[in-house]
Amino acid sequence: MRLRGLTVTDWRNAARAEVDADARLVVLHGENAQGKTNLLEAVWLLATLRSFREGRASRLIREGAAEARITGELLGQDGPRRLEWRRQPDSRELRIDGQLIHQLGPWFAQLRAVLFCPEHTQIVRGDPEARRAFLDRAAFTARPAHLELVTDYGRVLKQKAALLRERRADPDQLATWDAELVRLGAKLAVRRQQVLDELEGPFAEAHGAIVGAGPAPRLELRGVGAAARDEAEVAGRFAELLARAAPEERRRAQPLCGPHRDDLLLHLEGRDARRFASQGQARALVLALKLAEVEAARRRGQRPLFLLDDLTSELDRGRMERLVRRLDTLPGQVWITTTDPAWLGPLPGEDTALVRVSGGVATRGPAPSRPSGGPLVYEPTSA
Amino acid sequence: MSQPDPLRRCIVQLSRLPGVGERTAARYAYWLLRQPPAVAEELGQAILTLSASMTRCSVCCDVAAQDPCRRCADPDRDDGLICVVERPQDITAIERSGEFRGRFHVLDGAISPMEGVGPDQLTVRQLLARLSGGAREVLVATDPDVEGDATALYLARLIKPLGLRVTRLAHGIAVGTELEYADRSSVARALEHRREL
Ligand SMILES: Nc1ncnc2c1ncn2[C@@H]1O[C@H](COP(=O)(O)OP(=O)(O)O)[C@@H](O)[C@H]1O
Ligand SMILES: [Mg+2]
Ligand SMILES: [Zn+2]
Repeated sequence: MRLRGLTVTDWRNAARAEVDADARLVVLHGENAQGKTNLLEAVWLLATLRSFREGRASRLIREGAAEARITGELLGQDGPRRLEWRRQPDSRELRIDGQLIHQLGPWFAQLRAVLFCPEHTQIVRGDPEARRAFLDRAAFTARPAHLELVTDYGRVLKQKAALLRERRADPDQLATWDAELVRLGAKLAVRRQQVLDELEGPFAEAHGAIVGAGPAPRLELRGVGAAARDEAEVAGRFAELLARAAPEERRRAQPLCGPHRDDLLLHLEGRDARRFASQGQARALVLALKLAEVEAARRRGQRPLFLLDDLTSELDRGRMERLVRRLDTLPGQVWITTTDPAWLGPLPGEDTALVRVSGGVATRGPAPSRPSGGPLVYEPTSA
Repeated sequence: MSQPDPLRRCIVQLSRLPGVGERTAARYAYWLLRQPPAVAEELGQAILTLSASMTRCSVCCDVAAQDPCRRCADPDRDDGLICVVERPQDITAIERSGEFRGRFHVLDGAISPMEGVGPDQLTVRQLLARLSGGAREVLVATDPDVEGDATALYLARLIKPLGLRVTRLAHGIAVGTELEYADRSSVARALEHRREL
Protein backbone atom coordinates (compact mmCIF):
# COMPACT_ATOMS: atom_id res chain seq x y z
CA MET A 1 0.00 0.00 0.00
CA ARG A 2 1.41 3.30 -1.05
CA LEU A 3 0.12 6.85 -1.17
CA ARG A 4 1.99 8.09 -4.22
CA GLY A 5 0.72 11.61 -4.13
CA LEU A 6 -1.00 13.87 -1.64
CA THR A 7 -2.52 17.20 -2.57
CA VAL A 8 -4.16 19.50 -0.07
CA THR A 9 -6.04 22.72 -0.81
CA ASP A 10 -7.00 25.24 1.87
CA TRP A 11 -6.18 22.61 4.45
CA ARG A 12 -4.94 23.96 7.81
CA ASN A 13 -2.11 26.38 7.02
CA ALA A 14 -1.64 25.23 3.43
CA ALA A 15 -3.27 27.13 0.56
CA ARG A 16 -2.03 24.36 -1.68
CA ALA A 17 0.58 21.70 -1.11
CA GLU A 18 1.50 18.82 -3.35
CA VAL A 19 3.57 16.03 -1.91
CA ASP A 20 5.30 13.74 -4.37
CA ALA A 21 5.43 10.70 -2.14
CA ASP A 22 6.22 7.87 -4.52
CA ALA A 23 8.65 6.16 -2.17
CA ARG A 24 8.63 3.57 0.58
CA LEU A 25 9.80 6.09 3.16
CA VAL A 26 8.53 9.67 3.09
CA VAL A 27 10.25 12.16 5.38
CA LEU A 28 8.53 15.51 5.87
CA HIS A 29 11.04 17.88 7.37
CA GLY A 30 11.25 21.58 8.16
CA GLU A 31 11.18 24.15 10.94
CA ASN A 32 8.48 24.17 13.58
CA ALA A 33 4.96 25.34 12.73
CA GLN A 34 5.48 25.00 8.98
CA GLY A 35 2.77 22.41 8.41
CA LYS A 36 4.54 19.03 8.61
CA THR A 37 2.08 17.58 11.07
CA ASN A 38 -0.76 19.15 9.11
CA LEU A 39 0.25 17.07 6.09
CA LEU A 40 0.56 13.89 8.14
CA GLU A 41 -2.86 14.66 9.58
CA ALA A 42 -4.19 14.86 6.02
CA VAL A 43 -2.94 11.34 5.32
CA TRP A 44 -4.51 10.08 8.56
CA LEU A 45 -7.74 11.78 7.67
CA LEU A 46 -7.88 10.00 4.30
CA ALA A 47 -7.45 6.70 6.11
CA THR A 48 -9.82 7.24 9.04
CA LEU A 49 -11.94 10.33 8.25
CA ARG A 50 -10.85 11.69 11.61
CA SER A 51 -8.28 14.17 12.76
CA PHE A 52 -5.80 13.14 15.44
CA ARG A 53 -5.76 16.63 16.85
CA GLU A 54 -8.43 18.88 18.31
CA GLY A 55 -11.53 18.10 16.44
CA ARG A 56 -13.59 21.12 15.41
CA ALA A 57 -14.18 20.53 11.73
CA SER A 58 -14.17 24.23 10.92
CA ARG A 59 -10.53 24.47 12.10
CA LEU A 60 -9.50 22.04 9.40
CA ILE A 61 -10.34 24.59 6.72
CA ARG A 62 -7.65 27.19 6.14
CA GLU A 63 -8.53 30.47 7.82
CA GLY A 64 -10.53 32.60 5.42
CA ALA A 65 -11.18 29.78 2.94
CA ALA A 66 -14.59 28.21 2.24
CA GLU A 67 -13.64 24.60 1.58
CA ALA A 68 -10.73 22.31 2.38
CA ARG A 69 -9.78 19.53 0.01
CA ILE A 70 -7.47 16.53 0.31
CA THR A 71 -6.69 14.26 -2.60
CA GLY A 72 -4.69 11.06 -2.36
CA GLU A 73 -3.30 9.04 -5.24
CA LEU A 74 -3.23 5.51 -3.97
CA LEU A 75 -1.45 2.46 -5.26
CA GLY A 76 -2.84 -0.70 -3.66
CA GLN A 77 -3.68 -4.25 -4.58
CA ASP A 78 -6.42 -3.08 -6.94
CA GLY A 79 -4.11 -0.74 -8.84
CA PRO A 80 -4.24 3.05 -8.72
CA ARG A 81 -7.18 4.77 -7.03
CA ARG A 82 -7.93 8.34 -6.29
CA LEU A 83 -9.41 9.34 -2.93
CA GLU A 84 -10.91 12.76 -2.56
CA TRP A 85 -12.19 14.43 0.59
CA ARG A 86 -13.83 17.84 0.71
CA ARG A 87 -14.97 19.69 3.76
CA GLN A 88 -17.15 22.74 4.10
CA PRO A 89 -18.05 24.10 7.53
CA ASP A 90 -21.10 21.87 7.78
CA SER A 91 -20.86 19.29 5.05
CA ARG A 92 -18.47 16.71 3.72
CA GLU A 93 -18.03 15.03 0.40
CA LEU A 94 -16.15 11.81 -0.37
CA ARG A 95 -15.19 10.53 -3.79
CA ILE A 96 -13.38 7.46 -4.98
CA ASP A 97 -12.15 7.86 -8.54
CA GLY A 98 -14.52 10.76 -8.99
CA GLN A 99 -17.60 8.81 -7.80
CA LEU A 100 -19.49 10.17 -4.82
CA ILE A 101 -19.41 7.78 -1.86
CA HIS A 102 -22.26 7.61 0.65
CA GLN A 103 -21.36 4.53 2.65
CA LEU A 104 -18.14 4.43 4.58
CA GLY A 105 -17.38 0.73 4.13
CA PRO A 106 -15.89 1.06 0.63
CA TRP A 107 -13.93 4.13 1.68
CA PHE A 108 -12.28 2.48 4.68
CA ALA A 109 -11.43 -0.53 2.56
CA GLN A 110 -9.08 1.59 0.45
CA LEU A 111 -6.50 2.82 2.88
CA ARG A 112 -5.41 1.79 6.36
CA ALA A 113 -2.94 3.58 8.58
CA VAL A 114 -1.29 3.24 11.95
CA LEU A 115 -0.28 6.43 13.71
CA PHE A 116 2.37 7.22 16.27
CA CYS A 117 2.63 10.70 17.75
CA PRO A 118 4.36 12.01 20.88
CA GLU A 119 1.07 12.40 22.78
CA HIS A 120 0.54 8.64 22.49
CA THR A 121 2.72 8.03 25.56
CA GLN A 122 -0.66 8.65 27.20
CA ILE A 123 -1.51 5.11 26.14
CA VAL A 124 1.01 3.91 28.71
CA ARG A 125 0.85 6.64 31.33
CA GLY A 126 -2.62 8.15 30.96
CA ASP A 127 -6.14 7.17 31.95
CA PRO A 128 -7.76 3.86 30.95
CA GLU A 129 -9.72 5.80 28.35
CA ALA A 130 -6.53 6.34 26.29
CA ARG A 131 -5.84 2.59 26.33
CA ARG A 132 -9.40 1.68 25.39
CA ALA A 133 -9.19 4.20 22.56
CA PHE A 134 -5.96 2.56 21.38
CA LEU A 135 -7.54 -0.86 21.43
CA ASP A 136 -10.66 0.26 19.61
CA ARG A 137 -8.55 2.12 17.07
CA ALA A 138 -6.46 -1.00 16.48
CA ALA A 139 -9.61 -3.09 16.16
CA PHE A 140 -10.94 -0.57 13.62
CA THR A 141 -7.74 -0.68 11.59
CA ALA A 142 -8.04 -4.46 11.55
CA ARG A 143 -11.79 -4.53 10.81
CA PRO A 144 -13.38 -1.17 10.02
CA ALA A 145 -16.84 -2.46 11.03
CA HIS A 146 -15.60 -2.16 14.63
CA LEU A 147 -16.32 1.57 14.40
CA GLU A 148 -20.03 0.93 14.05
CA LEU A 149 -20.00 -1.35 17.06
CA VAL A 150 -18.20 1.23 19.20
CA THR A 151 -20.59 3.96 18.05
CA ASP A 152 -23.69 1.86 18.71
CA TYR A 153 -22.46 0.69 22.11
CA GLY A 154 -21.73 4.31 23.08
CA ARG A 155 -25.18 5.37 21.97
CA VAL A 156 -26.94 2.63 23.93
CA LEU A 157 -24.90 3.66 26.96
CA LYS A 158 -26.01 7.28 26.57
CA GLN A 159 -29.62 6.22 26.19
CA LYS A 160 -29.40 4.13 29.33
CA ALA A 161 -27.78 7.01 31.20
CA ALA A 162 -30.59 9.32 30.09
CA LEU A 163 -33.18 6.79 31.23
CA LEU A 164 -31.49 6.42 34.63
CA ARG A 165 -31.73 10.17 35.07
CA GLU A 166 -35.50 10.10 34.63
CA ARG A 167 -37.44 10.35 37.85
CA ARG A 168 -39.12 6.98 37.54
CA ALA A 169 -37.26 4.83 35.06
CA ASP A 170 -39.56 2.20 33.54
CA PRO A 171 -38.11 -1.22 34.52
CA ASP A 172 -39.12 -2.84 31.21
CA GLN A 173 -37.31 -0.14 29.32
CA LEU A 174 -34.26 -0.37 31.55
CA ALA A 175 -34.13 -4.12 31.00
CA THR A 176 -34.34 -3.50 27.27
CA TRP A 177 -31.41 -1.08 27.19
CA ASP A 178 -29.42 -3.43 29.42
CA ALA A 179 -30.08 -6.30 27.03
CA GLU A 180 -28.80 -4.21 24.13
CA LEU A 181 -25.80 -3.13 26.19
CA VAL A 182 -25.00 -6.78 26.90
CA ARG A 183 -25.43 -7.86 23.29
CA LEU A 184 -23.21 -5.10 21.86
CA GLY A 185 -20.83 -5.09 24.84
CA ALA A 186 -20.08 -8.79 24.46
CA LYS A 187 -19.35 -8.33 20.75
CA LEU A 188 -17.14 -5.34 21.55
CA ALA A 189 -15.18 -7.23 24.21
CA VAL A 190 -14.61 -10.22 21.94
CA ARG A 191 -13.35 -8.01 19.11
CA ARG A 192 -11.00 -6.22 21.50
CA GLN A 193 -9.66 -9.50 22.83
CA GLN A 194 -9.18 -10.74 19.29
CA VAL A 195 -7.07 -7.73 18.36
CA LEU A 196 -5.18 -8.09 21.62
CA ASP A 197 -4.40 -11.71 20.85
CA GLU A 198 -3.11 -10.62 17.46
CA LEU A 199 -0.92 -7.91 19.01
CA GLU A 200 0.62 -9.92 21.84
CA GLY A 201 3.36 -11.73 19.93
CA PRO A 202 4.36 -8.91 17.55
CA PHE A 203 4.36 -6.49 20.49
CA ALA A 204 6.93 -8.43 22.52
CA GLU A 205 8.99 -8.94 19.39
CA ALA A 206 8.92 -5.27 18.33
CA HIS A 207 9.76 -4.15 21.84
CA GLY A 208 12.79 -6.40 21.85
CA ALA A 209 13.86 -4.99 18.49
CA ILE A 210 13.81 -1.43 19.83
CA VAL A 211 15.27 -1.81 23.32
CA GLY A 212 17.42 -4.89 22.80
CA ALA A 213 17.20 -8.07 24.84
CA GLY A 214 15.27 -8.21 28.10
CA PRO A 215 12.06 -9.64 29.53
CA ALA A 216 9.17 -9.27 27.14
CA PRO A 217 6.36 -6.87 28.13
CA ARG A 218 2.84 -8.30 28.37
CA LEU A 219 -0.66 -7.06 27.57
CA GLU A 220 -3.70 -7.93 29.64
CA LEU A 221 -7.29 -6.77 29.51
CA ARG A 222 -8.98 -6.18 32.87
CA GLY A 223 -12.67 -5.88 33.53
CA VAL A 224 -15.79 -7.55 32.24
CA GLY A 225 -14.13 -8.04 28.85
CA ALA A 226 -11.12 -9.87 30.31
CA ALA A 227 -10.17 -12.93 28.24
CA ALA A 228 -13.32 -12.42 26.18
CA ARG A 229 -13.10 -15.17 23.60
CA ASP A 230 -16.64 -16.45 23.69
CA GLU A 231 -19.48 -14.01 23.10
CA ALA A 232 -22.15 -15.96 24.99
CA GLU A 233 -19.88 -16.45 27.98
CA VAL A 234 -19.02 -12.72 28.17
CA ALA A 235 -22.68 -11.80 27.72
CA GLY A 236 -23.59 -14.01 30.69
CA ARG A 237 -20.86 -12.50 32.82
CA PHE A 238 -21.84 -8.97 31.84
CA ALA A 239 -25.55 -9.56 32.50
CA GLU A 240 -24.76 -10.88 35.98
CA LEU A 241 -22.62 -7.86 36.72
CA LEU A 242 -25.41 -5.54 35.59
CA ALA A 243 -27.94 -7.32 37.78
CA ARG A 244 -25.70 -6.89 40.80
CA ALA A 245 -24.97 -3.24 40.02
CA ALA A 246 -28.59 -2.31 39.27
CA PRO A 247 -29.53 -0.79 42.65
CA GLU A 248 -26.32 1.24 42.76
CA GLU A 249 -26.81 2.37 39.16
CA ARG A 250 -30.30 3.57 39.96
CA ARG A 251 -29.18 5.34 43.10
CA ARG A 252 -26.37 7.16 41.34
CA ALA A 253 -28.35 7.56 38.11
CA GLN A 254 -25.34 6.36 36.11
CA PRO A 255 -24.38 3.24 34.18
CA LEU A 256 -21.52 1.82 36.22
CA CYS A 257 -20.36 -1.31 34.48
CA GLY A 258 -19.48 -2.57 31.04
CA PRO A 259 -16.56 -2.75 28.63
CA HIS A 260 -16.48 1.06 28.63
CA ARG A 261 -14.89 0.66 32.06
CA ASP A 262 -12.31 -1.96 31.07
CA ASP A 263 -8.60 -1.29 31.11
CA LEU A 264 -5.62 -2.63 29.25
CA LEU A 265 -2.70 -3.43 31.50
CA LEU A 266 0.85 -3.23 30.25
CA HIS A 267 3.28 -5.26 32.31
CA LEU A 268 6.92 -4.32 32.01
CA GLU A 269 9.38 -6.45 33.94
CA GLY A 270 6.48 -7.74 36.01
CA ARG A 271 5.22 -4.31 36.99
CA ASP A 272 2.36 -2.08 35.88
CA ALA A 273 3.94 0.19 33.27
CA ARG A 274 1.36 2.88 33.93
CA ARG A 275 2.89 3.57 37.29
CA PHE A 276 6.46 2.48 36.88
CA ALA A 277 7.56 3.17 33.30
CA SER A 278 9.92 6.09 32.74
CA GLN A 279 9.20 8.49 29.88
CA GLY A 280 11.76 6.68 27.73
CA GLN A 281 10.30 3.27 28.55
CA ALA A 282 6.80 4.56 27.83
CA ARG A 283 7.90 5.77 24.38
CA ALA A 284 9.49 2.45 23.56
CA LEU A 285 6.34 0.61 24.69
CA VAL A 286 4.06 2.77 22.58
CA LEU A 287 6.29 2.45 19.53
CA ALA A 288 6.28 -1.30 20.04
CA LEU A 289 2.47 -1.31 20.26
CA LYS A 290 2.24 0.61 17.00
CA LEU A 291 4.80 -1.57 15.25
CA ALA A 292 2.85 -4.58 16.50
CA GLU A 293 -0.30 -3.18 14.89
CA VAL A 294 1.50 -2.95 11.57
CA GLU A 295 2.89 -6.47 11.92
CA ALA A 296 -0.49 -7.91 12.96
CA ALA A 297 -1.98 -6.27 9.87
CA ARG A 298 0.71 -7.84 7.70
CA ARG A 299 -0.21 -11.25 9.07
CA ARG A 300 -3.82 -10.58 8.06
CA GLY A 301 -2.59 -9.73 4.58
CA GLN A 302 -2.95 -5.96 4.94
CA ARG A 303 -0.28 -3.34 4.40
CA PRO A 304 -1.19 -0.23 6.35
CA LEU A 305 0.77 3.00 6.14
CA PHE A 306 2.76 3.77 9.25
CA LEU A 307 2.69 7.46 10.17
CA LEU A 308 5.14 8.81 12.74
CA ASP A 309 4.83 12.40 13.89
CA ASP A 310 7.71 14.37 15.34
CA LEU A 311 10.16 11.57 15.76
CA THR A 312 12.84 14.07 16.73
CA SER A 313 12.96 13.87 20.49
CA GLU A 314 11.54 10.44 20.96
CA LEU A 315 14.42 8.06 21.38
CA ASP A 316 18.11 7.96 22.09
CA ARG A 317 20.48 7.45 19.19
CA GLY A 318 20.85 3.67 19.46
CA ARG A 319 17.10 3.05 19.69
CA MET A 320 16.41 5.49 16.88
CA GLU A 321 18.78 3.67 14.56
CA ARG A 322 17.24 0.34 15.44
CA LEU A 323 13.78 1.79 14.86
CA VAL A 324 14.66 3.17 11.43
CA ARG A 325 16.16 -0.18 10.42
CA ARG A 326 12.95 -1.80 11.58
CA LEU A 327 10.83 0.67 9.61
CA ASP A 328 12.70 -0.36 6.50
CA THR A 329 11.37 -3.91 6.89
CA LEU A 330 7.67 -2.97 7.14
CA PRO A 331 5.27 -4.11 4.42
CA GLY A 332 3.67 -0.71 3.79
CA GLN A 333 4.75 2.86 3.23
CA VAL A 334 6.17 4.86 6.15
CA TRP A 335 5.67 8.61 6.67
CA ILE A 336 7.78 10.52 9.18
CA THR A 337 7.75 14.16 10.20
CA THR A 338 10.83 15.62 11.85
CA THR A 339 12.52 18.96 12.29
CA ASP A 340 15.82 17.44 11.20
CA PRO A 341 16.28 14.19 9.28
CA ALA A 342 19.82 13.95 10.66
CA TRP A 343 18.26 12.86 13.98
CA LEU A 344 16.96 9.77 12.29
CA GLY A 345 20.47 8.58 11.52
CA PRO A 346 21.28 6.89 8.23
CA LEU A 347 18.19 6.51 6.06
CA PRO A 348 17.66 3.72 3.56
CA GLY A 349 18.86 5.45 0.43
CA GLU A 350 17.14 4.60 -2.86
CA ASP A 351 13.51 4.51 -1.93
CA THR A 352 13.26 7.54 0.35
CA ALA A 353 11.47 10.79 -0.46
CA LEU A 354 12.71 13.82 1.44
CA VAL A 355 10.09 16.53 1.40
CA ARG A 356 10.77 19.96 2.78
CA VAL A 357 7.78 21.73 4.32
CA SER A 358 7.88 25.47 4.71
CA GLY A 359 4.97 27.85 5.19
CA GLY A 360 2.50 25.17 4.20
CA VAL A 361 4.30 24.44 0.92
CA ALA A 362 5.92 21.08 0.25
CA THR A 363 8.94 20.65 -2.01
CA ARG A 364 10.54 17.34 -2.87
CA GLY A 365 14.13 17.99 -1.87
CA PRO A 366 17.01 16.16 -3.48
CA ALA A 367 18.68 13.58 -1.29
CA PRO A 368 20.70 15.47 1.28
CA SER A 369 24.41 15.29 0.85
CA ARG A 370 26.26 14.64 4.04
CA PRO A 371 29.78 16.01 4.18
CA SER A 372 31.74 13.71 6.45
CA GLY A 373 31.14 14.66 10.07
CA GLY A 374 29.43 17.91 9.17
CA PRO A 375 25.77 18.84 9.44
CA LEU A 376 23.27 17.97 6.77
CA VAL A 377 23.35 20.28 3.79
CA TYR A 378 20.41 20.63 1.48
CA GLU A 379 20.94 21.70 -2.05
CA PRO A 380 18.79 24.72 -2.76
CA THR A 381 15.58 23.80 -4.53
CA SER A 382 13.88 26.10 -6.98
CA ALA A 383 10.85 27.79 -5.42
CA MET B 1 -45.62 49.02 8.49
CA SER B 2 -44.36 48.04 5.04
CA GLN B 3 -46.01 45.24 3.04
CA PRO B 4 -44.05 41.96 3.25
CA ASP B 5 -42.48 40.98 -0.08
CA PRO B 6 -44.68 38.09 -1.41
CA LEU B 7 -41.81 36.46 -3.28
CA ARG B 8 -39.60 36.55 -0.19
CA ARG B 9 -42.43 35.15 1.94
CA CYS B 10 -43.01 32.29 -0.46
CA ILE B 11 -39.30 31.41 -0.55
CA VAL B 12 -39.04 31.45 3.23
CA GLN B 13 -42.12 29.24 3.65
CA LEU B 14 -40.96 26.76 1.00
CA SER B 15 -37.53 26.52 2.58
CA ARG B 16 -39.18 25.21 5.76
CA LEU B 17 -39.93 21.95 3.95
CA PRO B 18 -37.59 19.10 4.88
CA GLY B 19 -34.66 18.79 2.50
CA VAL B 20 -35.37 22.13 0.86
CA GLY B 21 -32.82 24.90 1.29
CA GLU B 22 -33.06 28.58 0.35
CA ARG B 23 -31.71 27.95 -3.12
CA THR B 24 -34.13 25.18 -3.98
CA ALA B 25 -36.95 27.20 -2.44
CA ALA B 26 -36.06 30.13 -4.67
CA ARG B 27 -36.06 27.84 -7.72
CA TYR B 28 -39.54 26.59 -6.82
CA ALA B 29 -40.83 30.12 -6.23
CA TYR B 30 -39.52 31.45 -9.55
CA TRP B 31 -40.88 28.40 -11.34
CA LEU B 32 -44.32 29.00 -9.80
CA LEU B 33 -44.17 32.64 -10.90
CA ARG B 34 -43.76 31.57 -14.51
CA GLN B 35 -46.74 29.17 -14.46
CA PRO B 36 -50.36 30.05 -15.20
CA PRO B 37 -52.23 30.99 -11.98
CA ALA B 38 -54.10 27.69 -11.99
CA VAL B 39 -50.94 25.80 -11.09
CA ALA B 40 -50.37 27.78 -7.91
CA GLU B 41 -54.08 27.56 -7.07
CA GLU B 42 -54.13 23.80 -7.38
CA LEU B 43 -50.99 23.48 -5.23
CA GLY B 44 -52.34 25.88 -2.61
CA GLN B 45 -55.67 24.04 -2.49
CA ALA B 46 -53.95 20.68 -2.14
CA ILE B 47 -51.97 21.92 0.83
CA LEU B 48 -54.98 23.54 2.50
CA THR B 49 -57.16 20.48 2.03
CA LEU B 50 -54.41 18.30 3.45
CA SER B 51 -54.27 20.01 6.82
CA ALA B 52 -58.01 20.58 6.96
CA SER B 53 -59.19 17.07 6.10
CA MET B 54 -56.50 14.65 7.27
CA THR B 55 -56.97 13.02 10.60
CA ARG B 56 -55.53 10.05 12.44
CA CYS B 57 -56.88 6.57 12.23
CA SER B 58 -57.91 5.59 15.76
CA VAL B 59 -56.93 1.98 15.08
CA CYS B 60 -53.50 2.05 13.42
CA CYS B 61 -52.57 5.69 14.17
CA ASP B 62 -51.71 6.34 10.51
CA VAL B 63 -52.67 9.71 9.04
CA ALA B 64 -55.82 9.19 7.05
CA ALA B 65 -58.72 10.95 5.34
CA GLN B 66 -61.24 8.90 7.29
CA ASP B 67 -61.37 7.03 10.58
CA PRO B 68 -60.92 4.07 10.49
CA CYS B 69 -58.55 4.39 7.57
CA ARG B 70 -58.83 2.60 4.24
CA ARG B 71 -56.45 -0.19 5.29
CA CYS B 72 -58.07 -0.78 8.67
CA ALA B 73 -61.51 -0.90 7.00
CA ASP B 74 -60.33 -3.37 4.33
CA PRO B 75 -61.96 -6.76 5.18
CA ASP B 76 -59.46 -8.69 3.02
CA ARG B 77 -56.47 -8.01 5.19
CA ASP B 78 -55.15 -10.52 7.70
CA ASP B 79 -56.00 -9.44 11.26
CA GLY B 80 -53.52 -11.97 12.58
CA LEU B 81 -50.43 -10.09 11.45
CA ILE B 82 -49.62 -6.53 12.51
CA CYS B 83 -46.61 -4.73 11.12
CA VAL B 84 -45.27 -1.98 13.38
CA VAL B 85 -43.48 0.95 11.72
CA GLU B 86 -41.96 4.18 13.00
CA ARG B 87 -43.67 6.54 10.58
CA PRO B 88 -46.49 6.61 8.01
CA GLN B 89 -44.09 6.72 5.04
CA ASP B 90 -42.71 3.31 6.03
CA ILE B 91 -46.09 1.75 5.26
CA THR B 92 -45.72 2.71 1.63
CA ALA B 93 -42.35 0.96 1.42
CA ILE B 94 -43.77 -2.29 2.77
CA GLU B 95 -46.91 -2.08 0.64
CA ARG B 96 -44.79 -1.53 -2.47
CA SER B 97 -43.12 -4.88 -1.94
CA GLY B 98 -46.49 -6.51 -2.66
CA GLU B 99 -45.70 -9.27 -0.16
CA PHE B 100 -47.60 -8.07 2.87
CA ARG B 101 -51.33 -8.50 3.45
CA GLY B 102 -51.55 -7.84 7.17
CA ARG B 103 -52.40 -4.73 9.16
CA PHE B 104 -50.18 -1.83 10.15
CA HIS B 105 -49.46 0.18 13.24
CA VAL B 106 -47.66 3.54 13.26
CA LEU B 107 -45.60 4.04 16.42
CA ASP B 108 -44.76 7.67 15.79
CA GLY B 109 -41.04 7.22 16.34
CA ALA B 110 -38.80 5.04 18.44
CA ILE B 111 -37.86 4.95 22.10
CA SER B 112 -35.09 7.44 22.87
CA PRO B 113 -34.65 8.62 26.46
CA MET B 114 -32.05 11.16 25.27
CA GLU B 115 -34.78 12.93 23.37
CA GLY B 116 -37.38 12.41 26.06
CA VAL B 117 -39.25 9.81 24.00
CA GLY B 118 -40.56 6.85 25.94
CA PRO B 119 -43.48 4.43 25.35
CA ASP B 120 -45.93 7.10 26.53
CA GLN B 121 -44.84 9.45 23.77
CA LEU B 122 -45.41 6.68 21.22
CA THR B 123 -48.59 4.79 20.35
CA VAL B 124 -47.57 1.70 22.34
CA ARG B 125 -50.75 1.71 24.43
CA GLN B 126 -52.92 1.77 21.30
CA LEU B 127 -50.91 -1.14 19.89
CA LEU B 128 -51.37 -3.27 23.01
CA ALA B 129 -55.09 -2.53 22.97
CA ARG B 130 -55.35 -3.95 19.43
CA LEU B 131 -53.72 -7.26 20.22
CA SER B 132 -56.80 -8.94 21.66
CA GLY B 133 -58.48 -8.72 18.25
CA GLY B 134 -57.16 -12.00 16.88
CA ALA B 135 -53.52 -11.09 16.35
CA ARG B 136 -51.03 -13.96 16.08
CA GLU B 137 -47.86 -12.13 15.13
CA VAL B 138 -46.41 -8.65 15.53
CA LEU B 139 -43.77 -7.88 12.93
CA VAL B 140 -41.59 -5.01 14.13
CA ALA B 141 -40.23 -2.99 11.21
CA THR B 142 -38.62 -0.12 13.09
CA ASP B 143 -35.36 1.33 11.70
CA PRO B 144 -32.24 -0.84 11.95
CA ASP B 145 -30.49 1.56 14.31
CA VAL B 146 -29.89 1.65 18.06
CA GLU B 147 -33.28 3.16 18.88
CA GLY B 148 -35.18 1.00 16.40
CA ASP B 149 -33.55 -2.18 17.74
CA ALA B 150 -34.28 -1.24 21.35
CA THR B 151 -37.89 -0.43 20.50
CA ALA B 152 -38.30 -3.83 18.85
CA LEU B 153 -36.86 -5.56 21.89
CA TYR B 154 -39.04 -3.53 24.23
CA LEU B 155 -42.19 -4.45 22.31
CA ALA B 156 -41.17 -8.11 22.33
CA ARG B 157 -40.82 -7.90 26.11
CA LEU B 158 -44.37 -6.64 26.47
CA ILE B 159 -46.03 -8.72 23.77
CA LYS B 160 -44.47 -12.17 23.95
CA PRO B 161 -45.90 -12.93 27.42
CA LEU B 162 -49.35 -12.49 25.81
CA GLY B 163 -48.62 -15.58 23.74
CA LEU B 164 -48.03 -13.81 20.42
CA ARG B 165 -45.12 -14.23 18.04
CA VAL B 166 -42.93 -11.16 17.76
CA THR B 167 -40.68 -10.95 14.72
CA ARG B 168 -38.21 -8.42 13.37
CA LEU B 169 -37.74 -7.41 9.77
CA ALA B 170 -34.46 -9.01 8.62
CA HIS B 171 -31.59 -6.69 7.87
CA GLY B 172 -31.67 -7.46 4.17
CA ILE B 173 -31.82 -3.72 3.93
CA ALA B 174 -28.45 -1.97 4.03
CA VAL B 175 -27.66 -0.94 7.58
CA GLY B 176 -28.70 2.63 8.27
CA THR B 177 -31.18 2.70 5.41
CA GLU B 178 -34.55 3.88 6.49
CA LEU B 179 -37.38 1.76 5.16
CA GLU B 180 -38.68 4.74 3.25
CA TYR B 181 -35.65 4.61 0.96
CA ALA B 182 -35.31 0.84 0.61
CA ASP B 183 -36.05 -0.72 -2.77
CA ARG B 184 -38.88 -3.16 -3.41
CA SER B 185 -37.01 -6.42 -3.67
CA SER B 186 -34.92 -5.81 -0.56
CA VAL B 187 -38.08 -5.10 1.43
CA ALA B 188 -39.59 -8.33 0.09
CA ARG B 189 -36.47 -10.22 1.13
CA ALA B 190 -36.50 -8.62 4.57
CA LEU B 191 -40.12 -9.66 5.01
CA GLU B 192 -39.46 -13.22 3.99
CA HIS B 193 -36.46 -13.62 6.28
CA ARG B 194 -37.95 -11.96 9.31
CA ARG B 195 -36.57 -13.41 12.50
CA GLU B 196 -38.05 -14.33 15.84
CA LEU B 197 -37.43 -11.92 18.71
N1 LIG C 1 -7.28 26.31 9.88
C1 LIG C 1 -6.04 26.86 9.86
N2 LIG C 1 -5.80 27.97 9.13
C2 LIG C 1 -4.55 28.50 9.12
N3 LIG C 1 -3.51 28.01 9.80
C3 LIG C 1 -3.70 26.92 10.54
C4 LIG C 1 -4.96 26.28 10.61
N4 LIG C 1 -4.86 25.20 11.43
C5 LIG C 1 -3.58 25.17 11.85
N5 LIG C 1 -2.87 26.20 11.33
C6 LIG C 1 -1.47 26.54 11.54
O1 LIG C 1 -0.62 25.49 11.17
C7 LIG C 1 0.57 25.60 11.92
C8 LIG C 1 0.97 24.31 12.58
O2 LIG C 1 1.34 23.42 11.63
P1 LIG C 1 1.95 22.04 12.08
O3 LIG C 1 1.68 21.11 10.97
O4 LIG C 1 1.50 21.65 13.43
O5 LIG C 1 3.48 22.43 12.17
P2 LIG C 1 4.74 21.51 12.25
O6 LIG C 1 5.49 21.76 10.99
O7 LIG C 1 5.48 22.01 13.45
O8 LIG C 1 4.30 20.10 12.40
C9 LIG C 1 0.34 26.57 13.04
O9 LIG C 1 1.03 27.77 12.77
C10 LIG C 1 -1.15 26.76 13.01
O10 LIG C 1 -1.53 28.03 13.43
MG1 LIG D 1 4.53 18.88 14.16
ZN1 LIG E 1 -55.95 2.58 10.29
